[in-house]
Amino acid sequence: MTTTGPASGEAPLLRARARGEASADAGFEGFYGLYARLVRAWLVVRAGAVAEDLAQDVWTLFYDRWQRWDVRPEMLQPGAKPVLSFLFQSAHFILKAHRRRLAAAPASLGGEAEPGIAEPSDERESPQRRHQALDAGRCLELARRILKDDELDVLLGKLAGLRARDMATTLGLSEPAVDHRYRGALRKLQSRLRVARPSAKRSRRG
Amino acid sequence: MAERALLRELGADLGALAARVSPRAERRPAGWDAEAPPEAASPLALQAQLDESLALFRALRRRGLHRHARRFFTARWTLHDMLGHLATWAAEFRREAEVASRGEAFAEAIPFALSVLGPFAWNEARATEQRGRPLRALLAEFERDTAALRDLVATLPATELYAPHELPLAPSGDPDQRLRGNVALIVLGKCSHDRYHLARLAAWLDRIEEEDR
Repeated sequence: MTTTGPASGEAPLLRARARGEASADAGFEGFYGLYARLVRAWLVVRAGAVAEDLAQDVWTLFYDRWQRWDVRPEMLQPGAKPVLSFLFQSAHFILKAHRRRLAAAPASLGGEAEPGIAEPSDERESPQRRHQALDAGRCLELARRILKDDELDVLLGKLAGLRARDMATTLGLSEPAVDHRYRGALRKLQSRLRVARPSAKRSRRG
Repeated sequence: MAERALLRELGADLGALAARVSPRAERRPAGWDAEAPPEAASPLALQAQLDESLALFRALRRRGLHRHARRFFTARWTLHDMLGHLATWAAEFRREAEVASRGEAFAEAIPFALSVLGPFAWNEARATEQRGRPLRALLAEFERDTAALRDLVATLPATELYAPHELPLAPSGDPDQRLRGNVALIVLGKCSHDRYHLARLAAWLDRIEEEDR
């Protein structure tokens, strides 16, 4: 399941831009409508309360780049998501920059913890209740808690439909390494979820 | 949990989060003036563009540049010369940003030739200097100076990032008529310069690797 908007994807907007059938502003609005929620969701998972501010910078970067965007033939190939790849890159680097500035001058920049999305529920919950919480929408929170930064980045990108080649340059990895991180992330999550659900395993045997 | 089920739940989680964080998506980010959209020159945007330069450069390095170093990239310059050019300007942009951030004046000017191609004579002189240097040194210098500029931007307060300053570039050719800018403009100039050349280099490598096959 991906959250990338309509199945028609980026190609119609890119094509319109290339042919001069739509203004740059119209194209920007189209991509903003397509991806604004996804970009914010990425940033909420990675940065919590400051996601809104960081999203502003991401879209400013894209607006600026879109004015001079060169639509090349490979961008119109099936499965290609050059704009989403650029947004992924921008979000990744904006987040790094945010953390760097916090590390450089936390007091003057009002640095504060990045709470991310809600922490897991009360420790007094029964194991069964905690298992249900993990299954009922907490997979992403689990991913945020246990995965390394690059594993989480790759997972978020893959969930949005990006390919390894769309993320490799941004992450400084080869395409096989991106896929390796992805598989490693899924294995970690599966392993943790297996530990959290021993009763489910027993019931399958029974 | 089976992988397919896990992916389904992760996707559902992300989708639900996306719907929750932006239930009524604005047409543009908050505070955006359609007549004067913000430039990509915030402290974070500047750093992000420098990181982009580094990422593009490192992707190029991973393609094995040494074996093509003596091939001509343009009529006058080899790939080695081109990479020396990038290293030269990485050092120059860094130097300019450091001088400007300290509020100091630039003693020298870099006059442009009257063309859109930049300071031609200055570039040729620096290319000659770089020609005898090992490629690995040039590659390391680009990364070092770009990262240093990024780290400088990370620490500068806004007052120093955007404070007006007279820069060395003299676009009219008259050394007494210099460009007025600031550290942010230096960074934007560097990043634009890097992207232009790195895109052309990547396309060139695609072409020659295809021809060599």
